[in-house]
Amino acid sequence: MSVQHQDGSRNVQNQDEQKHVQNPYLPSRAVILEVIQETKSETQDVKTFRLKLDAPFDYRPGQFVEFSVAGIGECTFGFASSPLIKDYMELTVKRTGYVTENIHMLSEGSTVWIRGPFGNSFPLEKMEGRDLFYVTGGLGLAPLRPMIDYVFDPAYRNRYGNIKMLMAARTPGDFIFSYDFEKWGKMPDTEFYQTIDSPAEGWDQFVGFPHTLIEKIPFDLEKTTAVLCGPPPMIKALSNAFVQYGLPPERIYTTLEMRMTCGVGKCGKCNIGHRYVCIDGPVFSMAELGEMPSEY
Amino acid sequence: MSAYEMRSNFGPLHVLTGNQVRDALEDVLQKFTVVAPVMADNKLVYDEVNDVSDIVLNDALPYKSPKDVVFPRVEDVMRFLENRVEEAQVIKPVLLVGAKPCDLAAMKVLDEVFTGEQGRYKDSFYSNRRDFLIIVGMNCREKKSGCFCEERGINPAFSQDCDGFLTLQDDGAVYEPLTEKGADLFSGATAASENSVSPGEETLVLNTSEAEVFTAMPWEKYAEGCIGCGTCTFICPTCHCFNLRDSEKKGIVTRTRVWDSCMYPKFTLHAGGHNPRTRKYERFRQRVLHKYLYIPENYGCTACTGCGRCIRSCPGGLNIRNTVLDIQRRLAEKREVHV
Repeated sequence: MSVQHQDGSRNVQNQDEQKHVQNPYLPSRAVILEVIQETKSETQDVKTFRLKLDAPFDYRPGQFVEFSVAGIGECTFGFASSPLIKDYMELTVKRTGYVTENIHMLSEGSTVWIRGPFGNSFPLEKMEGRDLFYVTGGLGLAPLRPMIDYVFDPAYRNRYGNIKMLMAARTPGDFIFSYDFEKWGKMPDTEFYQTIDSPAEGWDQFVGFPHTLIEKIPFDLEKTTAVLCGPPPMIKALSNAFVQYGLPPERIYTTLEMRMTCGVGKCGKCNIGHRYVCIDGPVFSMAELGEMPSEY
Repeated sequence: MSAYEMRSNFGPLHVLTGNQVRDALEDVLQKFTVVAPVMADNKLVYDEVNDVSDIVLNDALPYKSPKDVVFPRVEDVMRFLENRVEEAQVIKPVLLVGAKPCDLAAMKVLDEVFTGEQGRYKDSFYSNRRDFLIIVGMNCREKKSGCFCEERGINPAFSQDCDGFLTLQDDGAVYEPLTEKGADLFSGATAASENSVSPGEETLVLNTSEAEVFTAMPWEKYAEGCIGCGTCTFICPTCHCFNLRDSEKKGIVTRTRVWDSCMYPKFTLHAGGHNPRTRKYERFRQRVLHKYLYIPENYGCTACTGCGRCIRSCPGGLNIRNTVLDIQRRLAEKREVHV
C-alpha cells in the first residue's frame, strides 16, 4: 500500500491547485450497473452492487473502499470482485443499519461515491507454491472473493498448490455468491465444502461451526496456508482450532472487520493497540494478531 | 538545530510595556484573524477576538485547549454536486496569541498525527489550517490543581514550539521571535537573548509493552467513576478522533467532520452488532494507552501534555496522572521481584 498509488489513481474534481496535500476524504463518482440479491432466506439482507467508476482504480485482493450515498453517509466495504475484472467492481452489502438500509434501496443507474482503495492486502506473492485453505462465515466470503478468483485465474492458478474451501452460513439460504459455487467446486485440485449452523431439510453437506469441522477435512500441515474471514467470534475459535491442529499462527491469515470513518489512520475508530486496521490491516496473520490486544 | 541557534536567528528580544503590548495587539488585529484567551460564559477560552480589550493575557490556563483552531469541532469537508464533489473547507490566516507551553506541545502531537511522515497519509484539512497559522506562545506562572506539565517534560516558562514567545512580567512583557513568521509581530526596546531556559525531563512516561499492561493493571478500579460523558476527550488538547456526517440544506448535501470520542460505547460498535470495547474500563484503558503507549510507539511522542484539563473536568474523578503513576509503580514492583 502506498499513498502515491492511492492518490495518483483518484480523480478529484475541483482540486484547489494551491494545496500541496491531497485531500484523502474526497470520493469519486460511481454508477450502479446491477444489483444482485444474494441471500435467499427470509430476511434477504445481503445484496451485491456492481459498480462502474468514473475513474477506475487498481486494487489488490484484501483492500477496501469507503462507499458513500450522498446525504446518507459513508460505510466501509472490502472489494468483493476480482481485481482482474476491469469493467466493473462489486461490493457486497448486508442490511444492518441506517446507511446500508439506504444502500439497499438503490437500483441500477443510481449515483454513489467511492474513495480508496485503502489498507494492505493478502500476501499473494508470499503464498505462492503453497496449498490454500479458505474458511469463511456468512458475509466473510465477500472480502476473500477477490483472492479466490485471482488464484483461480488461469494466469495465476499454477502458482498455488491444492485448494480447500469451507464456506459457512447460518442456513442454506444465507450463502452469498452461491452462483459461483459450482464453478469453484469444479476447479482443478480444489475441494469445496459447505456447512450450516443446524440441520435443514434436504441438506447433505456439513452441519456445525467451521472450527469443529477442520479436522474432518484432511490437509497438509506443512504445505498449507489458511485464510479466514467471518464474524470475530468465528475467527477467534477457528484460528485457535487451526493452531491446536498444528498450523503455525504465521500461516493463518484473516481480514478484520472494524468500525471505521476515515480509512487513513486518523479518526481513531479501528485502533487496536498501536495498530490501525485501516492502514496496518485489514489483513493480519494470527502471529501479528497474537501480539495485539484482543480488542477486535 | 539547537535551541540557541534557533533563538538567535530571528532578531533580538523586545521588551514591551503593558501599553506597548496593547498597541501591538491592536496592530495585529488589523492584519489577522486573532484567536486569544477571552472570557465566555464565565470561563477563559481561546476564541476569535473582535476587540483587544477582550483579550485576557494572564496566568490562567484556558478551560479549553486551542485545538479547534487547527481541528475544528465541526468542519465542512465537501459538498456533493450533481456529478462531482467540491471541497468545502474555508481557511483564513489565523494568529493564535497566548497559547501556553502545554498547548504548544499538544499541537506538536497533532502535527505528527495529521501531517507527520509516520502517519503515512496527510490530512489536508489540518495541514491547510496549520500552514496558515501563526502562533505566539505565552508563559504560564501559576500551576492549577491537576496540572503536571513538568512531569511531562514541559517547561511552563518557555516553549520553542511556536513562532514567537511572549513572557509576561509583572509590568509588561518580553517578546522573543522564534521563526520568520513571528519576526515582526511585537516590537519594543530591544535586548539580547538570554538562552537560559531548557525543557525538563519527561518522568511520567510508560516504558512498557501492550502485553505487560493490557490485562495486568486494575483498569476497572482506575475507571470506576467514569460516567461515559466524553468530556475528557473533547477538552483534551491532543484527542483527535472524529466522525464524518452528511447533512442537507436547500438541496445541497454537505459532509462535515465532527469530533468523536473513544469514551462512547458506539464508537467501536460494528454494523454486525459486535463491539470490541463494550465496557467503560476498556474505553478508559484505550484512552490512557493510546496517549502513553500507542502514539509513542507510532509517532515517538507521548500524547499527554499534563495540562490537567481532563482531571479538573471529570465528573467521576478519573485521573490519568494517578493512573499512569500507579502503572509505573506496579511495573517497578514487578521488575524488582524479578531481579
